[in-house]
Amino acid sequence: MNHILRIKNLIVEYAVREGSLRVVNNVSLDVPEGKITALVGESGCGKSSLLDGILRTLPPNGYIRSNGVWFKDINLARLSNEELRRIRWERIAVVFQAAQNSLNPVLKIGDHVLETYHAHRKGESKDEILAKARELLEMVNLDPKQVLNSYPYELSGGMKQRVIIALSLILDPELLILDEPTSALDTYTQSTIIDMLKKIHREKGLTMFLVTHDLPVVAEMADYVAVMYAGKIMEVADVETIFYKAKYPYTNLLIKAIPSLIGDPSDRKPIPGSPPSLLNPPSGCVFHPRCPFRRPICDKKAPPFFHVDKSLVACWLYGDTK
Amino acid sequence: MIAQRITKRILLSFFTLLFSASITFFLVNNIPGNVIDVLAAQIMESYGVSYDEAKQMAYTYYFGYESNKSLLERYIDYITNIFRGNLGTSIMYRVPVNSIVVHALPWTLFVLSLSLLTGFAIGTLLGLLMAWRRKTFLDPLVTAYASFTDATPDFVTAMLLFMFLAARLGWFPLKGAYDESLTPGFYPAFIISVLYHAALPILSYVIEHIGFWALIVKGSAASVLEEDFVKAAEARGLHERRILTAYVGRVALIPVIAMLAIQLGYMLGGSTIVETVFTYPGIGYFFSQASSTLDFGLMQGLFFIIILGIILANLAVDIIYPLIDPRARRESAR
Amino acid sequence: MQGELGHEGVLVNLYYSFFRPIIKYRRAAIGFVILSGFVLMATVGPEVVPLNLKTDFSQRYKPPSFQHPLGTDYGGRDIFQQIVHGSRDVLTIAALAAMYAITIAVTIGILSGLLGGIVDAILTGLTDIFLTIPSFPVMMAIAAVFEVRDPFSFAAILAIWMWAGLARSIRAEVLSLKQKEFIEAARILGLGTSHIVFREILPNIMPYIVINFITMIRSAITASVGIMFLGIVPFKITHWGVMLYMAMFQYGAVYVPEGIYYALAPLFCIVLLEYGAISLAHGLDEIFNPRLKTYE
Ligand SMILES: Nc1ncnc2c1ncn2[C@@H]1O[C@H](COP(=O)(O)OP(=O)(O)O)[C@@H](O)[C@H]1O
Ligand SMILES: [Mg+2]
Repeated sequence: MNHILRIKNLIVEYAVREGSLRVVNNVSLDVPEGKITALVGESGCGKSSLLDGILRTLPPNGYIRSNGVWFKDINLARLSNEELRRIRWERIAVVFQAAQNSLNPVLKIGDHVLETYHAHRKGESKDEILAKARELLEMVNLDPKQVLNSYPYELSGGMKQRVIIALSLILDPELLILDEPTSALDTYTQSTIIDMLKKIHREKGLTMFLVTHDLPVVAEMADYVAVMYAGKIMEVADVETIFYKAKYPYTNLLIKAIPSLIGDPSDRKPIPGSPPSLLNPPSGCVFHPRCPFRRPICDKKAPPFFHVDKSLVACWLYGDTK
Repeated sequence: MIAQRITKRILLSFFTLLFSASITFFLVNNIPGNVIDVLAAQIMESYGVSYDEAKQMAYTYYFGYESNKSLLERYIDYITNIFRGNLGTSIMYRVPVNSIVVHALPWTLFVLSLSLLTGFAIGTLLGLLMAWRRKTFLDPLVTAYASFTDATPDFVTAMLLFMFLAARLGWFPLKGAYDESLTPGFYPAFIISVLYHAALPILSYVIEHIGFWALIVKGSAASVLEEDFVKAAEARGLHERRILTAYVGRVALIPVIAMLAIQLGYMLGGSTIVETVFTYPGIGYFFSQASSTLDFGLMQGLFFIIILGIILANLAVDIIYPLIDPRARRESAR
Repeated sequence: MQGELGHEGVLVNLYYSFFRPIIKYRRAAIGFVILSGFVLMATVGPEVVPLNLKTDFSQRYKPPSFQHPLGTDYGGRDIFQQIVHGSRDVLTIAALAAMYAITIAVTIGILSGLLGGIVDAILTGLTDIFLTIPSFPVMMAIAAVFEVRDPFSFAAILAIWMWAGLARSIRAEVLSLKQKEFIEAARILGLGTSHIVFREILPNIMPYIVINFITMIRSAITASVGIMFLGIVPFKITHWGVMLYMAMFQYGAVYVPEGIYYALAPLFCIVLLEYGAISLAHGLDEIFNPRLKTYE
């Protein structure tokens, strides 16, 4: 299988008053080309920070280290700012969390389209660019005539979300990264956006990397799933395995915690305990304080990855026996 | 929303004018007796009338009402006169205040607008740079400068500039708005002379205001920089220059623009000091002359012009505001 | 229990609530030291430094010396003595003006916020008008017409044009406090308006008032000295503003090299005093309203 994105030992830290907060802890992850890969995990486990580590879009107090972030044969970690700028949106488009606030309040949607285009390409006329934008807006069920001439405040949250998704396709990127594309929207809008994304994936064969804490969305869209906990990736597998034969105890608890996806809603069990502090993470396996299958080794040594069936899992349940 | 805002502003402006007129009426009503005596004596002499008649004439001539009417009638007469644009007569110069305004106002407007724009432009640039390039020497430097100029009132700056650059070194003229030997007109020598005479007054304002604008803009820009749409713009691969101008600058300046009117108000108030130090024949100079010589006619008239200036500046900001912030157009767009 | 505290307790309390934060925050400490210096100069200074205003033209514009630490003026009089004696008037006028202005602002702000309705509408309108009218020219005009000579009326004239901004923010503060539970509770308990104002609202806005007191002192200095600088209120010759007026417009001290000390001494004091006030106010603001700094 071809991997469009290969992240090697990525570390993201924030400088805070108390010291440094390691929110992405030595993460390695490969994103297969042409598929939809989902990154799931509780809020605050470092998903957005991981994305920020890819295209270096961290806030000023954020710091990155890695052994390389490879996009095809380009090491993004080594690029100059200008080289990176050319890749952003042209080849990798990232739709951030709270995309409703991603638009400049004093620019019309049409201006957003044009400035984005002109930042990367020259040559095409305004009409050609706008014609393409119209096509994309129609694809996300918006009325292009109205939308292109509107300011962001004149659109609803769901419309803005769809505008950004349309805008993300304007340069035909090779990889589309979406951070919580459905949060903060009503359920109806959520499902139309998911349908839309599926349609885009189907029609364009576009590789997507989808971040969410919403498992039903994952079940509906993803081919592969990576499970993140307290700054670490703990399990990676195809979507079937994750939902039916997950190896990592946390994954199973996470799936049980969602209502009405599979089985009886009364089966739903919240995960006991609370996520650990990233400032003083637990020793050994970060999940051990909450893990029902804890063993003596778990609080001493962090587990490496083990191949178990179709899963890649970092858990001593599958390793210390040998 | 704009309509509502402007209606409110117009109402407020009206009441502000009315209130100001009431203050000046109150002041005129409290003119020390000796001032009127002197005026009456002059009139008696030149017209050969009785003392009482002369006093009447003094009131009508200088303040626009008759002193033997009741307080309420006087008040109404006075206010109507003012609102008709009759600003009274200068005691010292013996001419209608309006004609002094015609000569003085252009100088003040010239100096203030140039100072405001220069200070605002430089300050904005510094503020944006400070917010954008966070950890540079610029920030502590400008912050220290701003807190120093904040602690120096107008008269300190003006006096220091006058003392060193004009009186001691003689690099700049001591007084006036242009070289008296030139006839006013649009030719290079005269324009240069005008700029040369205005240089120190302008410098006083600019020195005072750069730090203020820089800090305000920096604060506003720093909060805009944290907005999601700036990060999103970076993710879209926009050029840094575009983000700094169309995103950070444009949005950060919106709340700052509203302060231009307020600042102009301060500067109009401060012009009394700056123009007096440099003997610059603008509104402020004449106002402080009028105050120290108790030239009531002139004082009240110029006071109105100053208030009117501030009201118009506020109104202008209210009108241009929706042009720079589309969100302010919300209601009217529908 | 608070009432039981003896002298020591009060001191300890004062230490913890006032001095310790001031020491910790450099900015506030600098301001505090500067202001304390000037307050000392204004209170004790005139008692220990004699004032001799007899002119002796042979001593005109002498540079600083042991005898005249800051030199002499046009009339050969000691500048240092004038500065020390003038500081009392400068500070008295400013402190009085700030006190008057705070009183007006607190009254109007609280009334407006608490009563609401038509009272609020009128008071808000009034506040807006006062904010629109440029204060300095009005102060000048009123001071000129009434030929004020004493600190009390002069301070009052200043105060009338200084309260509006604070009143507006106090009103906003009261409006937001009104939403809070403890005020609701007090209302439900039927505790009277005076209880609500004096026990609940005032203590809550106290830090705000203290900070504004200091910034107002500073504005009052700017305004009062500015008016005197223009020669509109011929106050005592030792008042810094009058000294500047003399230096600039009367004695021509600004034109002659020897006159520099007479012109610069009051200028320097004013800038230092204002700098102290600004620093203390900013510092106190940092102490009372710590910005929620998550990083850096
Ligand atoms: N700029 C920042 N400074 C300090 N801490 C931050 C910053 N941004 C995020 N964090 C913290 O880092 C952790 C991970 O955040 P994030 O990557 O947004 O998680 P997720 O996207 O999974 O919800 C959270 O605990 C969050 O509070
Ligand atoms: Mg997130």
